[in-house]
Amino acid sequence: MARLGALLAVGVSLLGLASAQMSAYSSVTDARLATPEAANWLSTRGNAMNWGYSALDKITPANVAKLSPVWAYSTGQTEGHEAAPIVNNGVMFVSAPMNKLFALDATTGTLIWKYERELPDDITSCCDVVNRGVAVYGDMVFMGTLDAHMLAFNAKTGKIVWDRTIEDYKKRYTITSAPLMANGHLVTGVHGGEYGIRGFLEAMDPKTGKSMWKSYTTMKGSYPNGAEAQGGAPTWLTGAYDAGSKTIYWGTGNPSPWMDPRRKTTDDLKWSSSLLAVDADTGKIKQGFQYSPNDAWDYDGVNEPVLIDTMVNGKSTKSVVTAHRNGYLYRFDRTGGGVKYLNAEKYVTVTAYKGLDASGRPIWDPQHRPDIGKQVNSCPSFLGGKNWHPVAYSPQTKLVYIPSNEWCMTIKGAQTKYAAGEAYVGAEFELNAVPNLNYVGNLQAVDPATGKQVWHQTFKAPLWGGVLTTAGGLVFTGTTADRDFVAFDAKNGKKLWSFKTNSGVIGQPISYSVNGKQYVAVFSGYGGAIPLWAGPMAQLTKDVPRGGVLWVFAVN
Amino acid sequence: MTDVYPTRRTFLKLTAAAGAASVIAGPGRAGAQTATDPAKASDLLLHQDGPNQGKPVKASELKVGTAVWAVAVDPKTKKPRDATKGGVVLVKLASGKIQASSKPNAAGDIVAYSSVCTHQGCPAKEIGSIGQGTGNIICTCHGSIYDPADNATVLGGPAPKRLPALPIKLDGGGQVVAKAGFTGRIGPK
Ligand code: FES
Repeated sequence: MARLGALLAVGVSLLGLASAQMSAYSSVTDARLATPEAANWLSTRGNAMNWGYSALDKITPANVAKLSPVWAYSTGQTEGHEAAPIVNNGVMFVSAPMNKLFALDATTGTLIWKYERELPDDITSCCDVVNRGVAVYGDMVFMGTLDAHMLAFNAKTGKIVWDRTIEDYKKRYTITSAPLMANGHLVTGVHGGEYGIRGFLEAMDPKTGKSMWKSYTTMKGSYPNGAEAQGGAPTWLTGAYDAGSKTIYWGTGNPSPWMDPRRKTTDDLKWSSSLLAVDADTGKIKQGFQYSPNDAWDYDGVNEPVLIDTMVNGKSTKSVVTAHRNGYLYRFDRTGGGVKYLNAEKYVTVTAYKGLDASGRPIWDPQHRPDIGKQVNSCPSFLGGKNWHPVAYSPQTKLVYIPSNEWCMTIKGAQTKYAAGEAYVGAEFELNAVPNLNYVGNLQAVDPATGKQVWHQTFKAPLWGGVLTTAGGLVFTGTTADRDFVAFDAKNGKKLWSFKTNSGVIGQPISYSVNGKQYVAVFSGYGGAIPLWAGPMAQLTKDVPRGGVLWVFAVN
Repeated sequence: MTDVYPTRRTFLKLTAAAGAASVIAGPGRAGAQTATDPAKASDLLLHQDGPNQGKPVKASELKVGTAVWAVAVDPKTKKPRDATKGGVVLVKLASGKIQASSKPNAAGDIVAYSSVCTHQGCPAKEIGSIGQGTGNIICTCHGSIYDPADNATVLGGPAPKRLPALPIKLDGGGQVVAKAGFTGRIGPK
């Protein structure tokens, strides 16, 4: 049966216009994904190692003041716009909330084709109906959907090549982040940790959608009897791929529910709140590190693993670096495709733990660990020292740029029962500010090996957008309450330029070039989890207007 | 494969329900009403959970500080008129707390509201004990807070509008029954 969605997409495929860009469309290969050309942005973070780095250097601290909009595109959606566009030889693919997908001429903003998904009536997602981006491979574009399908589009025409149901959306499985290409496998995670789903990663043949492997992320024996079946550990943010060791690094979220009287303190609830090293060809979980064993704070471990070499005392180590929800910046040794804890340093206020032991395991502070009926205050809040919004890494400065937030929460456990499709949280909570601090958002440049802060810029309201850094020596990110898209000097953090957009900026900025001209693009379109979950802290962004616009800038 | 092709009306509804309180004024939605009233005058209120599940709610069972979750049922069939929309949260206010806005629909210090959260429809059926939620009706899905003393006005969280009230009275036996239907449209827009 022909899908209405597919017909729609073809209906607006402006084939005449498309031909010019599309005749030049270049197939995406594993080799191109492993070493993307500077001109292109082939995966949501620019490379499979999640750097958020562009090797383009035409826009610099010297000329960034002349950066101005060259085109803009309205998506017609008023929810949170968190996607990063993909650009391949002058063709841009960008997704919007409710699984809209647009193919645009990257120089003019002219629409080539579009797709608008006709989602079922009863979709529910805990944290807004976002989509964080798509993947490209061969001549295809891939998008996971809120009704837990994976769609493969013909990149040139927008026609759906295949459509696969990944899981049952009625159980609140959703897909909100881009799939990852790993050694020819199309890998997706799932979202739904607030509804008692069972997390997994699934790899597909990109040509057909046929399943190649599926690995669950909750482990029998590590949960109270049978609880692993609704145990959460969702895989809702895109991982990283290390082509050298053919290893996928992917984080997992909170256990479902947040607290559960059946749990013993010795139940680690593996692999919730963890970083997993997964064999790309078989899906086997080779090794893992659990950030928050027996988590009770909703400290998901999904935050993007960044694969870089770190240097300590002249010794370089193949590493995974990740700024985690619990407020620590972690460093792991990934030599040989494993994940071995090296060190972790606090990057925001942390009161939840007394500290970490030598193996990186948190030492609980009973005063700050909530339980059923036991109310505590802990920092950071469950929205994290950093949430989904990705850091950037510059191989020039060797610094990571972390869009962090300072906030705490009052939290206590509440009894809850699993019912398919219903919220399965088991907690009552309220966010609050860190006492005596006059800011929440804090963009920090940090040495990933030592955690030492090199510079920072603070903002009254929370940050919720990704970071981009460029070979031109710049750092770009957006703000929520101020609606600004801002450029900083990557070396010293000096604010060099800003532009007042239509809404709060929570997208992931990217850079690309066409015919030698460098562009920077970012979504402005406030929404996402803060207005839904931040309680009194959401007041800081209550006046931000809604509506999504993709902005593209250049120096003319 | 069974595919769902919703109409534009349901699409708008979905957007508003699932999105962050987006408000789309459209002719498709204006004046949309359910075919059946989820509650009518003289409907019984039955406990929806707890040890008295299925039994009528008595005024004497209500305690200040704890909410009772009930469902409105047709007194003849003892069945809800609309299972998805008949949920009711009952709260006994401390004496002197009730405000003018709640008085016309209350039975003494007892107030009743739809328990379908106006954000995304989760049950708003508990009294909070943290921060702003303390003593108020909370929805544990995303933390919306409603003031039971002030006609369920929204005090916090993503809920776009108050919970509709269910006007109540006490019958001869001290049972709480509906005095009229809900005062507004149930659930998310
Ligand atoms: S359903 Fe979201 S706060 Fe109630």
